[in-house]
Amino acid sequence: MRITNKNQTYLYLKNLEEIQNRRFQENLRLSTGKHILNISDEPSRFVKVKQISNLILKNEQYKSNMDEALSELRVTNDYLHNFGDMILDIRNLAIESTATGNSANMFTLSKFVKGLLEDSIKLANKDYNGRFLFSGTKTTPESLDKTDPSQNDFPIELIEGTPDAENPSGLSVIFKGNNKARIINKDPHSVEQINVLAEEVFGNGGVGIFQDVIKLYNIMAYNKDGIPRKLGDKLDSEDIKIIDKAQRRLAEIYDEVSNITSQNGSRIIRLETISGQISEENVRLKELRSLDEDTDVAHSTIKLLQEETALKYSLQVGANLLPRSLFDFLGR
Amino acid sequence: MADFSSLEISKRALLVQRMGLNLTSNNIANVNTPNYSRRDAVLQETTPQLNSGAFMGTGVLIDKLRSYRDEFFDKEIRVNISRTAGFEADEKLIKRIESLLAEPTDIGLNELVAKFFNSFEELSLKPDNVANRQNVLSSAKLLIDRLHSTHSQLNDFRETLLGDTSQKIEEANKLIQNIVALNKNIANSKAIGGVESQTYVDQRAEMLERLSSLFNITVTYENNGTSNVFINGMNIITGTNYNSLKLLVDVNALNGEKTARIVKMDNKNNIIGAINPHNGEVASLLKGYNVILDERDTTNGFSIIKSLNEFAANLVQKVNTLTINGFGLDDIGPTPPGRNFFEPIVGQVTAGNIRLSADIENNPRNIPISDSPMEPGNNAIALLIAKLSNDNSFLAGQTPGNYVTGVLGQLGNIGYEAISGRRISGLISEQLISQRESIIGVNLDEEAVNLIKFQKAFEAAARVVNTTNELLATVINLGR
Repeated sequence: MRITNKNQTYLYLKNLEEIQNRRFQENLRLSTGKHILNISDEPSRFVKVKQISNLILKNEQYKSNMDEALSELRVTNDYLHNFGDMILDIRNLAIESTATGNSANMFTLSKFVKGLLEDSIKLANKDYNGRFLFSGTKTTPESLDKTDPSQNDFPIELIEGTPDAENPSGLSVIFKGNNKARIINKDPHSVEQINVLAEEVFGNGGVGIFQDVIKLYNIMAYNKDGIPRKLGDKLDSEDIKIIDKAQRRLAEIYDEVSNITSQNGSRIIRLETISGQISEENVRLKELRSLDEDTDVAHSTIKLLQEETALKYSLQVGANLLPRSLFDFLGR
Repeated sequence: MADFSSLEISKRALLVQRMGLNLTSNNIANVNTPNYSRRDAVLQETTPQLNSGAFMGTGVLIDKLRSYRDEFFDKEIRVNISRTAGFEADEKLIKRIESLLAEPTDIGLNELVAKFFNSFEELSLKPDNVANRQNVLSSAKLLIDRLHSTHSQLNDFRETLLGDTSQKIEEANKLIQNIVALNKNIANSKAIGGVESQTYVDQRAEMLERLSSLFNITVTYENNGTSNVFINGMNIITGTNYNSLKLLVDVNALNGEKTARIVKMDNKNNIIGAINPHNGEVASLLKGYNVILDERDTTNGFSIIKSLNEFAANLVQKVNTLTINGFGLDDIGPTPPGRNFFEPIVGQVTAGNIRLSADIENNPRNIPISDSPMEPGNNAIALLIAKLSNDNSFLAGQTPGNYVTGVLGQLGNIGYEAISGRRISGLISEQLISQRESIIGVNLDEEAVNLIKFQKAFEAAARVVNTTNELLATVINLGR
């Protein structure tokens, strides 16, 4: 092939441009750490990376939600344990009240029962980060059904009403929340309930347990004629039967609360397991993404060295060969 | 007689070698001139004369000046230049769009879409939390801002393309006029000297190549040396006559779609036909304006703005359908207040006009994510909105994230095809140009040899004149 001057310069410049371009690309890959510099470099790889990124972002959100929900469920679990303990304490007081020699202390024991009732209601009104735990989807004070005789901003309220023969203390408990589940997505296809319903844990209408305790309190604190027991007032056999029935009911309630606590514990375990799985999945997804997204430093470094060597020699060739022609040697 | 014939022969030799030196000088002078084809003189011995019973040579003459231009290469190179220029323009167009979309980055549209749906996922955990509601608004605003800026930048870029196309048409018209002027010069030179002036032919070849980078052209030649030029079969130059090109923008009365087209004009500025280039820079610019960046495109081609508009319209429709039945934190019911999350736009929702409804934007407590009144912990609608991110029927049988990624991928594929096409046709062009150059190009070593060759021949001829002169002097002095 006949080689002309333009042949040499044209091809030389084209090749030099190519080498410089490739060197620049490898330089960019090393400085940014990214393999894909433009979508059009490798669109299929770009799409794959973005799809994996979407999965990672979604998983991170699920995990963040679950971790937050786990904190709430753990707090709920603590309160359920405490609540169960209080029920046991009340039951023990009931049993103690029927023990020989203790019936004279009924006044004092009834005060303890009332104190525990009030404490258990306080526990039932607990919140987590400003959200009531046992009031369903009515999680804020403003959302509660505060119709008469409600007087406070808590979902469960102990009302001191007018005493009557049935209820000599006049005490009653009202529930101002609802029994709706709060749900979160734990992955694209499954959900998990993150609250414990008042009806499940506190019985009928969200107040069943408290009403039972009030009945117990009424027996312990009042005589049959509705007059408060005085120090030394003893229980009769009928009272003892009612208290015994109440303590058995409290034992059942304790079992129910324990059952709910363990159900809540199962939720915690499920969420912990899935959260762990998501963490592992994200590690794998990030590795997978990295394979396509990130620069293979060793590969890029070698390629950069190759291109730099090519550029160096190309420039040397350009410097040495291009200006040489027969004219350089004529007339010497 | 014989002595004088030597002088005559030497004179011819001197003239011929001098011409050879001139040609060599011209070749050397044009060693870097684009599209210059080297020339040389075809020497021929002059008619012999019978002298003393034998035919004696009478010297040398230049039979013709030879140019090495080869129309086969010219034609193939023009075809490849047109393709390469088209692919290069496509590549530039796509890379520009990529930079406007801020892709590939970690803060691209894809990530903002994911962030938008994730904010609802986060809100579903604490639906009563105003900070989380504010976060939903922030992520929605970020997405909306990105859609707005992308929409406006892409539309601005589209207008830039129109300006670029107009400039290219102006450039094409100048090239057409130059080619016609060169056609005239070539025809004149042939009429006067019987042969075409190679200088004009080379200049015309250069103009034709420049024109072929703008359009896919076909060239035919007439006997008088003039050329005819066709763009995609439409005649633009016929010898010394030509038609100007003009860029027109038509507006569709029904949908307001603006379409750019190229027409050819007669000398009274009347439109006499449409030009539909399918290769070259102008074809690429028109594709960019009429399809890729046309939000009202009706060609069923891939339009990035149209795709983003469809995404925005779907997002508004799907989210509003859910929120319309929802309750905000302060809604007491019993019937839903009928709040849209996004403002329902009269006409078509686009990436350029999507916005939050004022009710929502002014008060995050109004975001209707509960399906019952006065239930701040109710997240039923937030969960449904968050689940849209996994909805395979969101748009075109894909989830929102996959749709956006798919659109970007589709754009990338056009760029990838352009890069591949540019590489292949560029390589073919390089080879063809290199092969042609090896035939028509100037080799300085060759020319140096020619220079010496003609110089030595000239010196020898001069020596013959000198010797003949001395001989004649001897003859003249014989009688003294």
